[in-house]
Amino acid sequence: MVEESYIELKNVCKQYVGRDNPISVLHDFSLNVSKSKVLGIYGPNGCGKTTILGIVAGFLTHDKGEVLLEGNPIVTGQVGCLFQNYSASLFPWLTISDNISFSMILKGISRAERKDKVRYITESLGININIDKYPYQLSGGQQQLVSLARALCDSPKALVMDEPFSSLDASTRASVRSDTMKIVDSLNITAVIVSHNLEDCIACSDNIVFLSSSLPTRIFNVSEVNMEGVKAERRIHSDIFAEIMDDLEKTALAARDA
Amino acid sequence: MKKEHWLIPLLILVLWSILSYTKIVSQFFMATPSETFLRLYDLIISGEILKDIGWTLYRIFLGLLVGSIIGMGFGLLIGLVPVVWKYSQGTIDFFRSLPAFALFPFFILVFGHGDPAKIGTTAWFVAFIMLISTSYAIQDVNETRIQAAKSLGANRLSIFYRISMPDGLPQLLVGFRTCLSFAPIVVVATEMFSGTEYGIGDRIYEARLLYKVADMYASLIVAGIIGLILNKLFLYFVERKIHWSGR
Repeated sequence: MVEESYIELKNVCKQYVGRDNPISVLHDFSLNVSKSKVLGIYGPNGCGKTTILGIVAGFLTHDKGEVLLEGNPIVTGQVGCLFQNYSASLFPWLTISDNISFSMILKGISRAERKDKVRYITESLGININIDKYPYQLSGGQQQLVSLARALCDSPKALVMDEPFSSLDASTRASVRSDTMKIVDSLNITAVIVSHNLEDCIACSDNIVFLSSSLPTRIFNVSEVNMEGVKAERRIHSDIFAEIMDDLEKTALAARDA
Repeated sequence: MKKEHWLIPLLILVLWSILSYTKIVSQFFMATPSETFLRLYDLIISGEILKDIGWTLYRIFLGLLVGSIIGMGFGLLIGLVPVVWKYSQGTIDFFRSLPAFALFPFFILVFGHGDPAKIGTTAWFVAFIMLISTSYAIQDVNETRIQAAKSLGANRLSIFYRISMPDGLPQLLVGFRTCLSFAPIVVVATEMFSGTEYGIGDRIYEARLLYKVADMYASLIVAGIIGLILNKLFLYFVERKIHWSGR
């Protein structure tokens, strides 16, 4: 059965102004993400992963084509975004509470109402931190979880994650990845994760899109991560993880050389 | 002030005492610490110097205010509209290279010998520093923070006052601190050059003319203390209110 597209990129084109010539990153690029699924986008640095994500999140514009959510053009604010550089993406002049409820501040919602929502969301996501602190008073892992809470605070229709674990040290990385995927699983939210780390892609995604390294980028392969019934946070410990990793590493190498 | 901050002033005091009490340096050039501090005490008790301090602070304050408003206004314009910077960079670099003191005669010519010339010279100096720091503060805003705000639904106006302003504020205040250090210098110098009824610069100049060496030294100490207090108050404010500076 063909699954219906929830997020859809149709013939999207995007160029950047280069020093000498314009650089075409996306040319007639199309991509579909099914409802309640997590799509991994894997590719080397500079292949256009973050551009795709920025267009979906609405902080980058595209030159041509359509970007749709449930069949309608995506409006900024509909898609929550988790950034690679957590400390740079949080606002250090605002408390954790105000960071998480920033979208509500923009809507002019009262402080009391915002604080209630922040308490609700941190409790329901299992994030145990003092919301009156400032971001720089938290550890890297805690800051990334605050970013996640902020991205989910306004109940977005989808979530995009740009290399969300790559700035974390090895020990924090595994636990934050596990916490993040537990939250994504529990909310049943449609998500896109871009990464140049295959382990992250397999641990988080239902399907992985392998991008070519040459520009304009194109889809080399779409692989299904067949781990039916294994909870996202448990995947890395499952028996078939290494097998899938071996298999997809070959695809990744082929995509890089393509 | 911490303990270690007193060490160098104490060493200076010891050196000053040795040079003046032993008359290695003639009393014609150097009053002794006791003469200077006694004179300072008299000037404060009589209230004589308080008017000078008040007028100097008034000129510093107005120079900073006028200069900051003009500098920040143009700095915002340049920071927000890069094409303005493209066209005005050469002109700005030329005018900001002109020493403020060299322009003092021009301001006297335009405004006369009164306060507007002194305040205008100070404002000129402040304006260019604030212009450059404001435009850099606006241009150097962290792009990831802007993207994060956009993804949360912020429009251009919200991004400006909720992200660009607070993100650029520490950079802007670095410029303001430079102004705060140099504005008293400019004001005191203009008070010395053009003469005025009240002002620390005028008091220093007059003391030198009349060979009131202790008076001159006492006034110099007051000028230094004004700068020190302004800087300390500013740092106190920044450390408490702009807590995210450098984060």
